[in-house]
Amino acid sequence: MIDTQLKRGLLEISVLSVLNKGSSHGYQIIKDISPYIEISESTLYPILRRLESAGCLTVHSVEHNGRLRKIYDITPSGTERIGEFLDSWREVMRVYNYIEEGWNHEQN
Amino acid sequence: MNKTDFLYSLRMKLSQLPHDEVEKHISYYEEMIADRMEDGMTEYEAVASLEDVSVIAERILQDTPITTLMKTKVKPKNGWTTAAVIAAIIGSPIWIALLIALAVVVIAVVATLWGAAIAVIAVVAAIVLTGILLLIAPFFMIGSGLPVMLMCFAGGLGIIGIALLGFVGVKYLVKGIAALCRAIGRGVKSIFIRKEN
Repeated sequence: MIDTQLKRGLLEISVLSVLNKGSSHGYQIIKDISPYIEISESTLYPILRRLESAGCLTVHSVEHNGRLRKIYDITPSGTERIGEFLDSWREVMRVYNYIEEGWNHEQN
Repeated sequence: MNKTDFLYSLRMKLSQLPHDEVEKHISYYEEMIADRMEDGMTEYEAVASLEDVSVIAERILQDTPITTLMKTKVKPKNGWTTAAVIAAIIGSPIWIALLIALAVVVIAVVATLWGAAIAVIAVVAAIVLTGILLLIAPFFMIGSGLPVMLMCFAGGLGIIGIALLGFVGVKYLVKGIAALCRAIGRGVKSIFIRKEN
């Protein structure tokens, strides 16, 4: 089971990663992320608000099939945050590979 | 449950939040239901695929800053009428004292928990220091003979080993206290969450 704080961080980056591929809306973001990490509407909403107030994404409404739909776009600061995440996780992955190597060695 | 009932129920459960805040949440869920219906679900299926309205409301309220919850909790149902203001002023010796008492109790509990954690960390650090001293000591007691020096060195290694195990315990202790503090925070918040049916 993923630690709550870690999951929150991963969800934020996952949302930014979806938006890095292009503008999106709430339901589409959930559909894109769901195969990889569990997310619900009530989890997504505070994440979107946090990322918006941190300046990582912007939101605007567009008319769609006679109703308004909120569209989210990533900002340069959001892209930067993905880069920072990848940098720090490269280090984590190095340690992970080292541990895995040791584990495999022990098993053989 | 259909969309109208779902949104009505959510609106009722969020009634203690400021009006514009409620509307933001309502329009978000309205959009989510509409998108699901556009994706081929019926209105009932779209609503059923969402979490239970009580779970959603609880999560929203828990994510709301405690200051907002306090403001709306103490706000009288008919607004701040003259009578309500007078009642609040007359009752202030009681409610201000209760509020301060609550804050003091919470701070005291949290401080005690972290104080205990710091004490345990200090004990483990002291054990490590003892171990290090026992490792260095043999170099200053050459005259005592090799067996004593070796015993001292081995004792030092053993103590450091025990201390390292102690650090694993400290890690879980700190994690546990952090989780407990978060639970206390949620508990305090729930005092200010108005229960709606």
